[in-house]
Amino acid sequence: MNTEAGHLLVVDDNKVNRMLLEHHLRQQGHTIDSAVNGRQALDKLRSDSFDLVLLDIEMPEMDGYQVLSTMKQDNQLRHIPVIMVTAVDEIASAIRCIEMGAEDYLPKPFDPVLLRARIGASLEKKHLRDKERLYLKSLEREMEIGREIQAGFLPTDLPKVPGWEIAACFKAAREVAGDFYDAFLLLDGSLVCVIGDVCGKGVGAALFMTLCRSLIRATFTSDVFNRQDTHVLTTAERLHHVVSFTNNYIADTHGDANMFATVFIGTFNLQDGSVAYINCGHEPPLLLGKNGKLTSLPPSGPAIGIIPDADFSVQEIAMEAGNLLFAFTDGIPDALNMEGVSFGHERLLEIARKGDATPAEFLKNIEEQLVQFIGTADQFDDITMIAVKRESPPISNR
Amino acid sequence: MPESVIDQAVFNELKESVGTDFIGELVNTFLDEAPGLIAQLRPALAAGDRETFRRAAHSIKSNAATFGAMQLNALAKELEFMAREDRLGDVGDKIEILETAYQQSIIALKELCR
Repeated sequence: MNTEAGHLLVVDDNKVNRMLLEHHLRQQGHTIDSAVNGRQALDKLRSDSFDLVLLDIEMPEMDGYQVLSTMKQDNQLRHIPVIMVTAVDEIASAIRCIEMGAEDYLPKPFDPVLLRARIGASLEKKHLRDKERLYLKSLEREMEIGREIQAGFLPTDLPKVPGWEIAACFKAAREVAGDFYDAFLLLDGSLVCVIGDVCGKGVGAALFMTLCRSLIRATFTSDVFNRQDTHVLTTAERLHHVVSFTNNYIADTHGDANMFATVFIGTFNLQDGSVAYINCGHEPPLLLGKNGKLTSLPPSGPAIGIIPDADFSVQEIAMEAGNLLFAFTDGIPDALNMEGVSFGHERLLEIARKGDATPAEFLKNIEEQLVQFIGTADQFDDITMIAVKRESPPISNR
Repeated sequence: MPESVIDQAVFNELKESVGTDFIGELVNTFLDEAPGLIAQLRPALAAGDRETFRRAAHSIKSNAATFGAMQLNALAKELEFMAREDRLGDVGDKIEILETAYQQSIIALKELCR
């Protein structure tokens, strides 16, 4: 017999039955506590930890049905298996209990062999379920750690620069995300904004997100470009190097993983408003100009990590005072509502055309409309947005 | 005499499974508990308290089955059903018959435990 020993609660108002059950169960190696009615059983269940309950149906004060129903509604007790103990002429009651969530039933008078077999099977199942619950808990804990660490890969503060305003929004669909954004200043005073979306979801995407973000940030901010020769890289050259280096590193080192990321990187000259950018297969960001004029910034190269030595071309645009550059991931246009309809680009463009607000207000507006649109549907993909605005110069009295 | 009151096969099986000492303890417990249960029947019947009547009959039935007291078991079961089906008017002299069956059962059980 592979009966595992457990701590069992015997609930029966009949003393002879209790004694008999306890005797058999002790002989089978279990430790026993007993209760003479349902109320006492619930008290004991809440103050001690049991592996299994043997429950009589007919009892004064609170009967077996009430105990079972209370247990199944209690998150702390619902996982404890219950075996109903019934007279042979009460099988219908036992069936009703099984429908209510009892694990099994035992007919009275007890057959010790049957008792051993049924308790053994129930305990084994319970131990498996307990293991599963523990495993799930530890998995949830691991995911939480992952989420916390990953949050550290997003900027805690966005750069504050006079004459410019930056805002970002990030909502992961799961504990860990494949989306990322970044914003930082280079030593030459220019601003770098990055938004990316790694293919797939969950842990795999999250690991590649951390790799992508780190490679881009590290390559941008290292000074190796100036060390070996006298040639100082232009902003465009530096941007091109960062993208090529990141692309080749991922394609060469992690090519087998077939992971890739769509990324938009813009380098902003904060003095003259010129923006050099590479769009690596990413959702085209929008430049919101005067009078609702929208300029789309389409891809100028493939997604990062697919093709080694891929060709990426640096594009340039000029941001005038009052212009806003808005970059986002496909989690926004692809967001689905309860009817399975997507938010779509048109809805986004409509909001953008009316966009005459601060970046923070602009993103908040989109987020609110998106939340309203999604309604009670599950968030399917990560939602990430970043907006950079060149402020209009203050009206001077000089 | 014991043969007719107690089902020897049931009793022996129980005895084998729990041992001679423990069966003595079980029988003594039954002898302690049963008179109280039987004593509940008449007042419950007089008061029309079906629930108490049914529960007492149910417990007697259960214990009788455990020891193989088949006649006592059958009588208790009949009373339990009468209460369940709201037919307490049919009880008649069934309580007296049950008391006699109980007396015969305890004599037989004591004999078997010797």
